[in-house]
Amino acid sequence: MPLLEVRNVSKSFGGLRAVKDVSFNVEKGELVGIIGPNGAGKSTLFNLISGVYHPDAGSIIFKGEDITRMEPYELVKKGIARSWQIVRPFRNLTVEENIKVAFYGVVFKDSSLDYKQRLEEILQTTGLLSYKEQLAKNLPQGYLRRLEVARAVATGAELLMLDEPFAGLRVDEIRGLMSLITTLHNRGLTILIIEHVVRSLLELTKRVLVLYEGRLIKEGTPEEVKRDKMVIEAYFGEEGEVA
Amino acid sequence: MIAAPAALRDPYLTHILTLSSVYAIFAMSWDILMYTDQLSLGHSFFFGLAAYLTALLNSTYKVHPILSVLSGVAVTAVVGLGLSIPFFKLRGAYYALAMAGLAEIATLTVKAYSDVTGGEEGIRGITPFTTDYLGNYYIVLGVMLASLIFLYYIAERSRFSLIFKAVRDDEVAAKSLGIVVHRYRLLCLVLGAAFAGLGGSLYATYLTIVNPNVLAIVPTTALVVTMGMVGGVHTIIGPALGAYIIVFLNTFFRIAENIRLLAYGLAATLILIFLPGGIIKYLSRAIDYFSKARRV
Repeated sequence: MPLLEVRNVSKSFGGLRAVKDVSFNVEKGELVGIIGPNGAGKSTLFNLISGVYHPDAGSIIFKGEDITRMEPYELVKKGIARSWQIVRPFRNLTVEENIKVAFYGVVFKDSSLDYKQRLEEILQTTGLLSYKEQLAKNLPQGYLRRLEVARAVATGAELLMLDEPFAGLRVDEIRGLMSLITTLHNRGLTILIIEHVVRSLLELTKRVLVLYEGRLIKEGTPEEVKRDKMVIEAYFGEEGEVA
Repeated sequence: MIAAPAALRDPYLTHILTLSSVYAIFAMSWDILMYTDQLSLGHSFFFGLAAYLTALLNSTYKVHPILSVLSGVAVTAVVGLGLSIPFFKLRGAYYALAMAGLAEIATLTVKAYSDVTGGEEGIRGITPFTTDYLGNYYIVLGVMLASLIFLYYIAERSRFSLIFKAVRDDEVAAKSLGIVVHRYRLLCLVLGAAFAGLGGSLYATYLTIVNPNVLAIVPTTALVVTMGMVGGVHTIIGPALGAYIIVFLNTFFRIAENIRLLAYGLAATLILIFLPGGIIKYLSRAIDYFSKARRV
């Protein structure tokens, strides 16, 4: 049984059909990338899976359960967490408190000893330990992205959905974040990434889905996708180079 | 503050302090709503509703003062709970205006059904807890301090504190981390309504008279918003402090009755301009500063 099944999902906004009849599966332990040019429907697809929007047609199954109509906070309890393309930290909370909020969202109990340990562990893994006392509004962009990931991990999610995690980062920040994502993946998290920085994504994942004008036009390994003529035309236009 | 009126033996000063404590409860109830960004521009609705209910039960149906106050609180809490359904989707200015609408409707209703509510005249002859001014002072002060401790604990010292801040910073992000935002908004609304009700009920039993002004946006909602802003929003203690300041300013300027409202308005405006964030912010900074200076 796949961890996540997206079945014939469609979504329109007014007359615009943002996502058209998209279907794919994500197996447990996979790291899957979704690429596509601007307006391809990547973010809409993400919002559909994470419950921000509900599809007009089709269904979404997580661990065998239909989650199509569930709200974001219910999905978190089921084990799906997401980050945002434009970071949404709680600016007036410290890094540590930001992560604690994610604990409170899932289990309604005070931070007992094992939660302290879990907090330390998350801070350590995400490289935020030395920043834990800082207010989120004072963090540099690269660390805000790490905080997004840290909060999502703190919910105890099985499926981590990252919305353009590399956008706007410097090369060294991208490197750091890539190694963090690899670490999390190696620890058993299933990860779904939308990305614009295609080069990094193709390096990171073993399977890539390509969206174009709301449709899934290609699915395969990074090598297959890079060589696919339709993808090159659709996504990369006249530049004609993938990575 | 506890010994001052007893030492001074001044009924008028004691009265002003008692009234301040009543308003302090009301101001804190307004502030707890602000913790989840619910700007209530019709908060007099809860205050006045409880005041009228207490007055009716006590004066017309001869219910014991304590029981009438408790009924006022219970009813406003339930009304707050019920209001969460229509107010669930409203945010910002829409929420504020919908609240204001409630207060306006209630005011007009009370004025219209004068055979029950006494119309513009209001209801008189409410039995107080006690006729001793010091007794009243200590009862109201006690209730105020208990409310302060309770609300301060909920808002600043419990795990809700972090969640409230997170919801204020970014509601969407909070939801995406599994925070059931409407549950916390509901909690604040019920607490805000119930404590405003407590303030209103105490107001009625203490002054032994209510009139439609207790429900009206001007003066009652305007007063509570000013108290909150002057004292410092999102602090609980600030609005309570603001209540004492505003009631005292209001009283102080009675020395020049013809310019009282002007002078009072000007003083409140100056505080808002020169101490943005409220008096409590500067007070706590000053305390920090002096306690550090002493240590060095």
